[in-house]
Formats: sequence, structure tokens, C-alpha cells
Amino acid sequence: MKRILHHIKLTGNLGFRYGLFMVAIILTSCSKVVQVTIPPNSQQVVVDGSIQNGVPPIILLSKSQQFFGTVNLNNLGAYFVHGASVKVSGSDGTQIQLVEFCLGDLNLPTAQTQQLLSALGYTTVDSANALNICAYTVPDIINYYTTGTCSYMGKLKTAYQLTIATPPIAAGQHDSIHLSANTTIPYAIGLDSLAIRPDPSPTYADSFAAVYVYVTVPDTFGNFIRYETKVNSQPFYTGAGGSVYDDRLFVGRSVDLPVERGLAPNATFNLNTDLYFNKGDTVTVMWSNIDVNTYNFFYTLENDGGNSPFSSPVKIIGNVNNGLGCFAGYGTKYYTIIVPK
Amino acid sequence: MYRIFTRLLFCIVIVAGGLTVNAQGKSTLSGFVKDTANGESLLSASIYIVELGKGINTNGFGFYSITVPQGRYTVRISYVGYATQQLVVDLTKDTRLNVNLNSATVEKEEVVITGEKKGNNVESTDMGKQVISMEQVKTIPAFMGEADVIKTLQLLPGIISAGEGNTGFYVRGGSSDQNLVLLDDAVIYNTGHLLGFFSVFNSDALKNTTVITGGMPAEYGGRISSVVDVSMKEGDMKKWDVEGGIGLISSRLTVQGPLKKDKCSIIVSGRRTYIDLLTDPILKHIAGGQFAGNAYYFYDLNAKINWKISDRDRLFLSGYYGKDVFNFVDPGGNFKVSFPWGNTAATFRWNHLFSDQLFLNTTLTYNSFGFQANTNFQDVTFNLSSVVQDATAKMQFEYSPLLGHLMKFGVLYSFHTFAPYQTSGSAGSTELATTDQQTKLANEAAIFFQDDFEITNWLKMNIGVRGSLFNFMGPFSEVQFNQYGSALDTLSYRPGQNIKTYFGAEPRLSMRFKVDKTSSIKFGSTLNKQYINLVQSATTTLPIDLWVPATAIVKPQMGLQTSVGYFRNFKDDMFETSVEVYYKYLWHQIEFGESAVPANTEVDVEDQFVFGKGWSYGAEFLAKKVKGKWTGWVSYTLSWAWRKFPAINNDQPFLAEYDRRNDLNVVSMYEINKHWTVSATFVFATGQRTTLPISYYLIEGQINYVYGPRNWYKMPDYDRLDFGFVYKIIPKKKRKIVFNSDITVSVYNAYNRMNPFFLYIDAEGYVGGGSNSASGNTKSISFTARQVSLFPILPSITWNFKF
Repeated sequence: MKRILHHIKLTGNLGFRYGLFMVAIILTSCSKVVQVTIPPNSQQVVVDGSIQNGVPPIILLSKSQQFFGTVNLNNLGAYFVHGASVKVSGSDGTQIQLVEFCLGDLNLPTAQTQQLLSALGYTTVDSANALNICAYTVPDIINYYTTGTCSYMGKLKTAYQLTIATPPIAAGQHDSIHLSANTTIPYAIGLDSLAIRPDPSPTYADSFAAVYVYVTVPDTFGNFIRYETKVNSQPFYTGAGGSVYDDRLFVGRSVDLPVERGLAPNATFNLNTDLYFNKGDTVTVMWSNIDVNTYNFFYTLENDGGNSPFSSPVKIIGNVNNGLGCFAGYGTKYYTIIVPK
Repeated sequence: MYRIFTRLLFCIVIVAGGLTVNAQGKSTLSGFVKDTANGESLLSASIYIVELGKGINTNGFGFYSITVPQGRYTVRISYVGYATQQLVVDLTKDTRLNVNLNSATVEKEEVVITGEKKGNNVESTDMGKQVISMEQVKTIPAFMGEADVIKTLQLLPGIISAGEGNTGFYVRGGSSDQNLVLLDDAVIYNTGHLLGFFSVFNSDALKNTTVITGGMPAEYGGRISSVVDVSMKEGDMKKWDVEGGIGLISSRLTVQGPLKKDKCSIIVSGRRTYIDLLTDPILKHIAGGQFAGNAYYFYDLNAKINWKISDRDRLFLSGYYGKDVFNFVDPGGNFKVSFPWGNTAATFRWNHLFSDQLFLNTTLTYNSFGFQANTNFQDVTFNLSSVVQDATAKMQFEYSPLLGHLMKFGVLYSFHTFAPYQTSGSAGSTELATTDQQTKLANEAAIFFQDDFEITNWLKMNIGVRGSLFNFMGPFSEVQFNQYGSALDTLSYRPGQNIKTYFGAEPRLSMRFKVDKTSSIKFGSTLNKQYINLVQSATTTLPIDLWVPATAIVKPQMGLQTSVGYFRNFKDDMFETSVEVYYKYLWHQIEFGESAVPANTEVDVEDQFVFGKGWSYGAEFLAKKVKGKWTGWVSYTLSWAWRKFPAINNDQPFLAEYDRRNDLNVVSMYEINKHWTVSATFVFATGQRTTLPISYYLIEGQINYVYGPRNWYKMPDYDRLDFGFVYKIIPKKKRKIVFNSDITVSVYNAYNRMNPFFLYIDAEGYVGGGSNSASGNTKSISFTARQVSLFPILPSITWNFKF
């Protein structure tokens, strides 16, 4: 259902898609399990990587999975690709060979483990038994989480190339797999300011408030945004309407727009409350400028309509040659505001 | 292939011209055929000259004209469901013979001869053509009690339903936009209400429907697969009638009568659903009541004025206005949506008889389909609208100078306006920019000629050609982007400036070779061009789907269809049977690309299109019983529908989503006595094609799917049995006002089969676990395939009345 929810774009056919979403909820509530024989298909290497200004590159390498198995804590080791050679080089002439870490090997304090997991998009409330995520990053990643700096971090207005060579990932394969991806960290334009406004519904105004961004959009096309929000010490989450925006509707203008509160993965969704912030919340907005390839990746990912009769499957446009996924560059600024009680 | 076909047709025209004879010593018999009771013209009624063994059908206005050697003839006039009249005519000069036929139900039993002209389906050059009367539509079991002409069409061979309960249809492997749907000559762009579960055609307002899936005559154009020509009633010329029905989800009311007896009549018909009242209690109790506050309904209004100015001139003014309306305000009031959509159509027609041999129909039509989505979320309002509209003028002559010849020729001009995704809105006090979507304007013109004529007793031909032109013109400007999404340049065209023009000839040919009195072999081949297109964003045709013109990027669709058929009647035409095989090749087919997001209003929709070709082939079998108390038909279609696009499936051919290997329909109607009629339909269809995911991967902890090849999965087969019962309440005593009524009971899906509507992969759990996870703290993801079914057994009851 999250997938259908993602189909709602604030600047798209919001109303109609909302109606279809409602119809889909009603319909899927009267479904039955059926057997589907899915033909064998080869596994592919998946890149879930990013580089952000002031942050080291972090690359998760995994394998696409067959259906009707189960991914859980016990077989995450089989899910990730180990022993790969991963290198990032920048247009400024810098380069670094990344090394593989599994979270369990780092022996980080719980808070930092959660922080790292959150940065990778994985969250868990079970802090005593955190996911053993494996990722490729800089050798001194510990320094970044302890001192805020490390040997290699992203810079604004810099292009980066990711090159990967993995060992064979499936039985019967003998050759290593070579992948590459290019991204750019654009100039971080950021936003002008954040503001608090009352919840427009009198019913909920006592408990909730809306957060608005004031932003001046450049007068040229081709500027793309990704934003996520964080409430208090929770991780950054994406809003129900998706995380990426093209500025075409707002080009050359100063606008004030409501910020959608991010939703935890698989969260149930209530129109009246889940889009707003509680009074007393500390709200942090992560506002990133991204390049067109990163935009296309997340836009297609968030708008995959599945195969209901009211929507269509969308093949996600990755930027990884010979693999799935994306190596995303972020020119990011953070903004914080406290919702008054 | 196109050039060879054109030259071949040209040669045939020359040869055929040489074979015809001149008209010396001949006279013309012409006139109108009407219903005695109400003065309605009878379309496709048969005028048969017994001594010559030849005949003709009335046109769309009930007019006929036949030129024969002078003499004394027996003329038999017949029409389905009406008593046949036989007259002797001394034809020594041009003669006008207007005939009024009595409905079979009001005729004394001993003189009733009902049915079509003897062997009409065997005699004519028509292929893949069926005429559906509204009586048939109303007798067949109806979904939710709503008699629906489109759903009746879906029971014919070669016409495939778009899905469970859906009025969308596909013809011989063509996409849904390749069907030309006309209501009194006006194009209806979106034929469905409520996402296609009901058609826009109110059965009370309609007279009959003609569908052509095979050899499309040259008088029709602009689409490449089929024509569905729906005619509205003209209004009772004799007396005032009130007709209506009260059903489970909607009610209907029609009033018709003479403004001046036998001169001018009017009909007004309306229908309104009360789905909003029925669904409200359900919505209050699901998903915590957050969807309460929804209001959905649709309504239709049809009206027509028919003015007989003189014996030679007649005017018609007809109109249709229909809307679907959905409003939602969330209980907290923060989120409001309103989206109305619907069709508007208006037709002005002037029939003029220049002579007994030359008939002119001049038509001016306006039609539009519009959709709006108005949303309000916090302080952001966003209004979206899409409109496609046409203004069309058409002149069509019908000329029958010689026995066995019926020529039709004319011209058409249409001005198209496409205004996709017109956006406006505001964020607080700031107006949003709306520079990305523009109105597109286009001119379309056509000239056509066709002649249906008999060369010898065993060979009859219908040859025709249509010349068509399409011009996409300014004002228009487009921003050019580079590969990084940055604007490079803007191309601007001034008003009226030619941006792209397409033109071409569309030859049409069909031939009938008579084997004997009861059987014939037919051959047909037609080339059609289509300049406006709709690309569906989903299996169901949605009102947000956009019609787009041929442009510099989007080339006109083109289709060449060739079919061969064997037609045979049995038992004095009580049974009609046919087998038709066809092959259709389609150029410049359009689909959304694999990564297209059709809902994206920020880019020109044509930028998301990819182009390819298609081909389809199949065999259609039809056996009909057309006379007697028991009537009905069995139709079976074996077909394949292929597509091949360089940008889809790595250029490998794939089966279209509407590919159905087997499609079987059994329709049976039995009139037990004057009170009771029972009917049943059985439908079997091979499962619909769909694109299911074949694997998945995680990005930022979220599941994303890898889809298999386009339409790789065939859903389970579809089958359904429906029953219908009509009980006519006949008034016992004759009163000044006769009140007739009936109770119609339908049982949809009688054995309660859970047919597949769609399948999806359901993911349970989240790799991060947590309190929000459906699987609690197990930190696991598991998948199941689920099938959604729509309608269980659905009984319905409708009370219909007329006085």
C-alpha cells in the first residue's frame, strides 16, 4: 500500500490518485492468496550509494532477491555482496578505495549505530539487536562518527565516479562483475527559512501544527530537490507524497510550501494527523539539491504504480551501469525549527 | 504494401466502372420507413424487390432509394421485431413510397413475419458488422440492473472486454482508442462512468447501435479498429410518452412527444445514480472512517428535437451532457478534493432530398471531454484540468442512380483542441507557474467516396477511398532540455503556423462472392489512418488519460486489416452462421515507456511515449438464431494480439494486455409468454495479460520491484453466468392512458465465481522490524501473490414503466 501511497504527488493528479488509492484500499481488503509461478531470473548487483557534502561516501552492495523467500536478520549476510573492490573518484582529482564494514564489526555505541543505520535508510526500534548492515565506506569511518571528519568527504559542485568489481554473486558464475556510476553534488541552494503555521483544521489545531518552507527558486529549469524530515531524535523519513521535486512549477519565484512530515517505513497513514507536527516537536529538514539522474531514480522509484488496473508498473531508472540502484550525490543543508507548545 | 494495395484498388474501380450499365428505362422507388406507433425512423430496414431478388437497406435516417427497370413489382419491407409488409408497386415513373411498420407485439399474430431481409447477412458486402437493437440490450441480463449497450457489444465476436464489469473494449487486437464511438455523429471520447463500470449511454434514450469490426466503409474514418455508431431516439411524433425505471443504483426518466403532431417532436431523457447514498454507510466504517465524506455520483442528460420541415427537408438537434462527480473532504477539513469529469456532445443535422436518388445529410457537431482535479491541502490549492474538444462539419451524399448501386461521398472538416493538464494553483499568496503544458490545435479534413454495387449475381463489391489530412498548428512553443534536465532553448510557433502536416489515402474494399442462395464468401481489406490517440496509463481507461494529436513526435497510427469470411444461413434464415478470419497490421503504435510515470503533469505526455508496431490475427465464429420465441447467439473468437517496441522488452515481441486466446459468449433469450421473458449469458475468456514483478531489492530499506517482460503473466481465466427475468405487467382494462410496466431481475455472476480483477505482490513486514511493522519485531519481509476479485453474485431488480 505504501507503493500506492507514493503514487500521490502533491503537484500531480493528487485528487484523482487519492480517489484511486481509496478504491485500491477497499479492493485489496477483499483479496485472496494465489499461487504464481515466477520464472527463474538472474540476480543482479544492487547499488544503494550516496555521497553528500561533508559526509563520506557510503555504498551498500546487495543482490536482487527472488520472491517467496524471506529476508531477515539471519540471512542478511547472504543478502549483501562481500569482498568487492569499490572506488570513488572525484572531478577534483581525488580518489579513494572504500573498505567493507559490517555494523556488527564496528562496535559503535548504540546511539551511533542507530545514527548510521538511519543514514542508510534502515531503522530499527530493537536497539539491543541491531541489523548487521554491511557497507563500503572510508577506512576511518569511525572518525566521522566520533569527530565529524574523516579522510574523504563529498564536496559541493563536484562530480564523482563510482567503480565496482564484485566477485561472482551466484552459483555457476565465474567472472567478477564490473559496475560503474556517475553522480554530481550540485551547489546547495538551500531554502530561505522555515516557519510554523497553525493546523488548518480547528479539530486538530490544539495538538498539531504545520511547518512551511520559504524558498526562492532559481529562474532556470533543471534544479531538483530531495527533502526529508526528522522529528526530535527520530531518523529522517520521507513524506507520503515522495521525497523528490522538480522545480518547474516554481521556477523564478519565491514560494512558501507546507512540509510533509516524514513517515516511518510501513507506517499506517492518517490524513488528519500524520502530515503534521506535534506541538513541542523539534523538526529538522534535510534539504538537498540533486542532479537529474538522482531525481529520475527516486522519482521513478517513488511512483511505481505496481500492477493495479488504475496504475502501471514503472521500471526504475538507475544510474548504475551493469546493475540496479543509484549512486546519489547530495548538496545538503539542514534547517531546524521547534514547534511552540 | 500500401502502394500495391492502392494500385490494386484503382484497377478494380476502373474494371467495375466498365461493368456497370446505364440507367435508361428505369425508375426510382424511394421513401422513408417509420414506426407506425411513434413515427421514429427505422434504420437498416430492408426493402426487397421479390421479382428481382434484390434489395436495399434504409440509411441512418430511415431513407431508402432503389432504381430498377420499370415494371410491376412486389416490394417486401421488413425490420427486426416488426411485422413485414408486402406491397405491389406499379413502377412506371419515379415513385415515393413511405412505409409505416407495426411493431410485432401490436400486430395480429397470423400476419406477423418478423426478421431481417432474406439472407441479408449473406447478401451484403458487410463484414464484422452487427446492428444491436435496444430491445436486445434490455432483455440481456444487466450488471446492477443497468442495461448497457457497450456490454452487449462485448458479447459479439472479435470484441474483447477490458475487464470485470468494464465498458472498455478492444476490437481485433486494437487498442481502446482505435474505436470510433459516435453518438448521433458526435465523437464520445470517454464512454465510461465510474471508471468504466457503466457506459455513458442511457438505454432509454437510444434507438439502436451499429458496430463494425471488419471492413470499415469509407464514410467512417479517424480510427483504425472499429466503429460504434449509436443513434438516439428522435422523439414520438404521434403522442406524449413518459418512460422510466427505478433501479438499485440509478433511476431514469424519459419524456417524449410531438411539439406539433407529425411535424416536430422532442425527447428529453435523464439518469442519475445514488451510489453516494449507498456507499456512505460503508465508508464510515472502514479505515477508521477517514474516507467518510466521499460523495460520488454520475448523471446523464440526453435531448433531441426532430423537425420535419417538408417531405424533402428535416432538421435534428440533439445533445448529450454527462458528468461524474467525486467530492471528498477529510473529516478534519485539511484535505479537500473535487473532481468532476464528463462528455458533452451536440449535433445539428439537416437532411435534404435533392431528388429521389440523391440524399444529403449535413451535420455540425461539437463534442468535448473534460476532466478536473481540484485539490486543497493546507494552504496549497492545485487545480488541474484537461479538455479535448472538436468542432466538426460533415456533408454526406447518398446517390443510387442504378439498380444495385449505392454511392456515398462527402467531405468532413474538424477542428481539434487539446488542452492537457492545464494547471493553476497557489501556495499561500503565490501563484504557481503553469508554463509547462500548452494547448495543441489541429485541423483534420477528409474527403471520401464509396460505392456498393453488384457486378453479377454472384459478385458484389463495396469499394471506397478516403483521403485524409491532419495539420498540427501553432500557436505553440516548447522548451528544449539537455540530458541534464537544463533548459537549452525555446521553439515558438505563431498562431496558425504549420508545425506538422500528415495526409494520405485510405482505400477500402470488400467483396461478396455468392456461393448459393444461402451462403457466400466475403473478402475485405481496409487501410485506416488515425491522427488522434489516447495512451492508457493503466488497464482501465481513466479520465485522466490524455488524448493527444499527431505531432512532429507522434506519427499517425495506421492499420491495414484483411479478412475473409464464410457466411451461411439455415432453415429459411432462422439461423445465421459465419466464420471470419482476419489479419491486422498496425504501424506507429504508442505506449508509455517502461519508466514513464503517466501521472506526471510536469512534462508533455508525448515525451513519455515510445513507438512501435503491432499485429493481430484470429478467427471468429458466430451462430445466431434470429427468429422465433427463442433467440440468441454463440460467438467464439480465437485470437492473438502482438506488439513490438524497440524501447520495451529490448525490442522483443510481446502479447498485448488485451490478448485473449479464447473468448466465448453464449447469449440466450426466450419469450415464454406475453408476461415472461428469460435470458442468460455465459462468458468465458482467457485470462488477461499483466506485468508482475519477478524479483525485488532494497533501497534505503524499502522494497523495490524488478518487473518481468511486458505482459509476461497470464491471469487466471475468466468465466461468468448471468440470468435475467423480465415480467411484463399488462394492463387489464383499456384506459385513456395505458400504463405498461415490467419488473426486470438480473443475477450477475450466478455461480459466484471470484474472477480475477488484478493480481499483486503483497509484501509483509520490514527488514528493520519495529512497532510500525506489520510483522512486529521479526525484522523480516515475506511475499505473497494476491488476487483481487470485484463482484460476487449480484442480484438486482429494476422496475420499468411507460405510459
